[in-house]
Amino acid sequence: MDQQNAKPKRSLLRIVLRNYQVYLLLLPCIIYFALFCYGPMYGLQIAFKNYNTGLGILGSEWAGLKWFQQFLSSGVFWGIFKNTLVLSVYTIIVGFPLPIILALMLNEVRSLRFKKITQTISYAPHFISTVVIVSMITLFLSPSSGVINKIIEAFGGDAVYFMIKPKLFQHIYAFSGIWQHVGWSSIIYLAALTGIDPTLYEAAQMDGASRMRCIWHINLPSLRPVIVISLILSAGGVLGGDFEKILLMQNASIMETADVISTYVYRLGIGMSQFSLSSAIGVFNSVINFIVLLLVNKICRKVGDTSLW
Amino acid sequence: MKTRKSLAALLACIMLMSIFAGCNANGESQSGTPSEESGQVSGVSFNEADFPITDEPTTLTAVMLSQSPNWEYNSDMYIFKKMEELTNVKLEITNIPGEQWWEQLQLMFASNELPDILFVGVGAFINASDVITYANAGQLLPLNDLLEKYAPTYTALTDQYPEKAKLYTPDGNMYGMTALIYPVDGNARPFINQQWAGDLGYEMPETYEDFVELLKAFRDSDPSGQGTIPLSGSAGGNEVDPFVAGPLGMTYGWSNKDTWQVVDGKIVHVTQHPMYEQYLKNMNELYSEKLLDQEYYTQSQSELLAKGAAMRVGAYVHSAHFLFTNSQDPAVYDQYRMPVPFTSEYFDEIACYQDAINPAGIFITSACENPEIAVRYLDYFFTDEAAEWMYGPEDQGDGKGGIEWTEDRTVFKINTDEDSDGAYDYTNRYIAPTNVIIGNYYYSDFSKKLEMALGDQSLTYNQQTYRVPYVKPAAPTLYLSAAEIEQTAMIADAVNTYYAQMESKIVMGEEPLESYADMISHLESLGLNDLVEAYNTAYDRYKSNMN
Amino acid sequence: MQRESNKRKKRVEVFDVVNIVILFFFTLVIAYPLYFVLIASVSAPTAVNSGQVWLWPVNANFNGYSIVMQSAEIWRGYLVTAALTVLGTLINLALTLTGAYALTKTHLPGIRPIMFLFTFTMFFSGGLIPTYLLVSSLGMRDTIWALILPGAVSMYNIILVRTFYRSSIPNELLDAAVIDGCSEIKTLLRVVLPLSKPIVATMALFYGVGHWNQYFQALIYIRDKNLYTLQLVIRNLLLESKNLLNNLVQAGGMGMSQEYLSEVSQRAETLKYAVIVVSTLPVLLVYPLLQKHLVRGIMIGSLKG
Repeated sequence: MDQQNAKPKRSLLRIVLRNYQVYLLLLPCIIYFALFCYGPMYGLQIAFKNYNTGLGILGSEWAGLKWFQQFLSSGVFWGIFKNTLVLSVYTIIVGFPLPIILALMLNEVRSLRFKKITQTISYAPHFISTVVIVSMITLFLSPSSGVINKIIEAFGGDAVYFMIKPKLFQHIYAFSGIWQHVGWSSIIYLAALTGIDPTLYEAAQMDGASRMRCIWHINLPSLRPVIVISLILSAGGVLGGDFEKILLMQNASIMETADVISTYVYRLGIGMSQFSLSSAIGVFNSVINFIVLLLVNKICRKVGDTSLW
Repeated sequence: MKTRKSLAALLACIMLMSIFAGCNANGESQSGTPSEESGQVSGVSFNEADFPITDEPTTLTAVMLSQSPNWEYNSDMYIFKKMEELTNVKLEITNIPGEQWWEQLQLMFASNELPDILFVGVGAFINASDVITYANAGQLLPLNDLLEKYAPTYTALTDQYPEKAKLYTPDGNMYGMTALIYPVDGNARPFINQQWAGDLGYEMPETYEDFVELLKAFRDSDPSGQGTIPLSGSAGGNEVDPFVAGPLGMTYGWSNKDTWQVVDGKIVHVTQHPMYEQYLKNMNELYSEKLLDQEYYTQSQSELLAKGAAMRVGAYVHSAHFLFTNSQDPAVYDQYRMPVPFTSEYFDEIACYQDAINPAGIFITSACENPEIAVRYLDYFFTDEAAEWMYGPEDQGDGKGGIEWTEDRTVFKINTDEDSDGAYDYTNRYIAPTNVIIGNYYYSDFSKKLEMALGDQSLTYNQQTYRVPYVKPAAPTLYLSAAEIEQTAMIADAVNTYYAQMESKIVMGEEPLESYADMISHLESLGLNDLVEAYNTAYDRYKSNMN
Repeated sequence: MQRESNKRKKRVEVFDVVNIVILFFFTLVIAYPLYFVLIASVSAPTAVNSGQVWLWPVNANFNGYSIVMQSAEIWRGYLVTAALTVLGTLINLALTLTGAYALTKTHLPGIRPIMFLFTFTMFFSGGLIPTYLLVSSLGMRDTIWALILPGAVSMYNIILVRTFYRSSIPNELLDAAVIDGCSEIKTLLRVVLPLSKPIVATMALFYGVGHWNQYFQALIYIRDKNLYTLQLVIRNLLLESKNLLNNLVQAGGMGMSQEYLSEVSQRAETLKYAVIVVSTLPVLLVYPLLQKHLVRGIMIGSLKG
């Protein structure tokens, strides 16, 4: 009995020593995460304390789950939670497939020049700052002078005041997000596609496969690991959203769909110095995200063989 | 199995580690007790009444909000040099740009790396709740005794105004000095195009009903020729409430009606004001009859000003008519004139609302070892002599700018150097941080001799003639205590978000006017009554501080 | 035989045509707002804000660009950001490529738990205040290290690189390397990295762009004007007038402040679009340069040999 327990221990150490180079390669990362991520982690306590800046994080007194109780029992919180969820899920559903499709299409283009130009144009919007993006959205969607409404009117319709309709907010947010990021997001898929062995295509063509079939049977499977990982990571951001963009797009009329957790936390935190409360909401947010990530990861592992760990 | 066990063990270790790691984190030093303010002078000599304030040259650290990259406030500026000569106190200044202000402010307190004096700008860029929170934490010093003993000029000036009560927090202390005492100028600045009115045969309206008639004429006759917008504005500084809420008896400030109104000696939320339903009706009428800009609720100020520059707008609220029309030509901007505050069939007082005292903008922190020195130093800014210094030295004719007098030395103007964009920029670059501390700058006798630019003369004339005679005290600024804030922060946010939303929907016709009753009951379900109660307690405290 | 190959060729053609047409329209839709930024940058601000500008510039002028060119702050910001991008990206790559490789060895003890611990930090962080205190106590404030070290590794990227290693580097190659007597580090350097050009190039792009756009860390940790990143300088210029308005409004609004406000808000509006063009252009030019590393054909020869 003793020997059995002793053996694994010794061979564990031996395995580690034998593979010391792997651990050496990992060391810089370990130092980084320990110092910059886990070091400040004690700050999570703010969510469980009555944070007093004079006493510091450690000196402030404990408040237990008081803040959690406060916002969970508030009438408005669940509405905001729902908004956040709906916005993210909608963005993922609509926005996730498009970069993949774009990458697949671009990959098929023979002309290098066309490819380069299209790619450069497609990822250019990613760099424009959010402030300007939102100004442009407001200008284009303006009921009196915006391009979109001018087109609608040219076709005989009535101008629509897009920015004040709560129901339209999610669509505007999602599609402007796609416009801004689809090119950039497709880059990672394009990189994966370049790793495909060209002999596979030759073999498929000799078997008489059409282009579409090649894509379906060769390209997509090779993208699968990246797609799955990206999906899992997106799921982990399900209670996130582009905080700055939403904040700038918000106006009084659409708060019932446009108020999300991050903007709410910002209003309470910076606006009303409620550090502990906003920290508690942040912790809650993270917990949910993390649980979702674990769930989705487990599902993906069961279904395929790719997972995060 | 093995993985899960080692996982759990690792997690537990990490959690424990991080808690202990916190103990070793530097910079988490406690502030301890605030330094006593009963005149203990820790080793530096202190002159209670004469100048210099101390015998040895002393330096005080300060943090100032700098709203422009060109303004690097430093101790070489004219005013600081003069003050140093007089008081033997030098100010070592750290500038924080406006863009970085809010985060850096909170971090300063969180890390306890505080300057002796904190200047948050003339616009008081600090939340009321921040003041309470940090005062509670002992990081802001209470100034009552210090001001009484060592700030005679400041105290004399502020005592003239009962609104001084707004500088007191719930615990009965004053934690900051106001940076600005300014002459009453009417606050809100509404403008109407008098030329169009005249051409169409109308007098400048004095009642709300006449105003609406005029707007209809603007709409129907299109005096601008480009699709006139009778009344325009935008949320966040250019609301139209002086035109609409004022005549119903609601108090308003710069452009927006006050969220908390005083009715029969009690504080109510604006939605509970007896005339609020009428307000909704009126705004709805303006919007649906296309008298109010259809993009009122979403357009940015830039878009509004574009319309202004194109001369398409009949009436608006903005800081100056020459700014709104983007013109230096009196023939253009003087088409607009301020109206007197309107009355209506519901309200027959002619009133606009203003306080002469701004919320506290200068704080002394727990880092200051000699607060009495700081207080005496700051007090001098409120004297007439300092006010004169803030205009700067005379122009030496070397291209560096300066004051230039007329022959008889009764009127002066300020010449600037090449780099500056006008006198204000020049002043803040080289002479005095008037964007941060003003003191007596605007209404000392010396300032009356300043010759203003034409546009400003027109603006001042409008204010003095049509608004100033009718100024009444503004709605009180109320501080909730730390405990009250904690209990009501979420309610306040929910109430204000919901009410703003419903208001915009009712006005734009997305919801019927009858929704008003539902709106009120929903607000009550959010906790409105608790909030109102908290504010009434604060109001009682305010009233007792006024004495 | 001939007919067969003709048929194959035709089918290929139709697909290509459809593909290119769709991509072309897609490009147009994406390109329009970019075009708008370009024409807006040379138009009068009031025209832009009243919706007059949508196909051609209105009241064309180069004021925005001339102000930008003359602004010493912007040039300084460029320098700082360029230095930050190069240095930062090198450090990022060093950490990410090594860490991801080590994390592929899930059969080794401790690797899986460490992976979990690292991923955990993507969701839970101590927040701004403790991180600020840490950076402060390490003496990194107002230095370039405050912009590089916190956030030096993105777990998201490590996961992507690791996925790439696992799926694109065949195990046979790794086994061959072991047989040849290569240590882990040698395997990484001689075998894995040369085959990973696409992902390395992609990571260089991701991290590089991240540094280029970064402003929040500068906002928090940098007070020294000489160390402002480009984005921070730009934000100071653009938002300046908004903050100024609120402050000056309270300042009793004597004429002097109104005049200044008018100058400043005009300048901000004029600059708004020109500044985007100036700050975005360099990045747009980088991708075409990196693209040759993202081209297929790298795997040819490795297996056959």
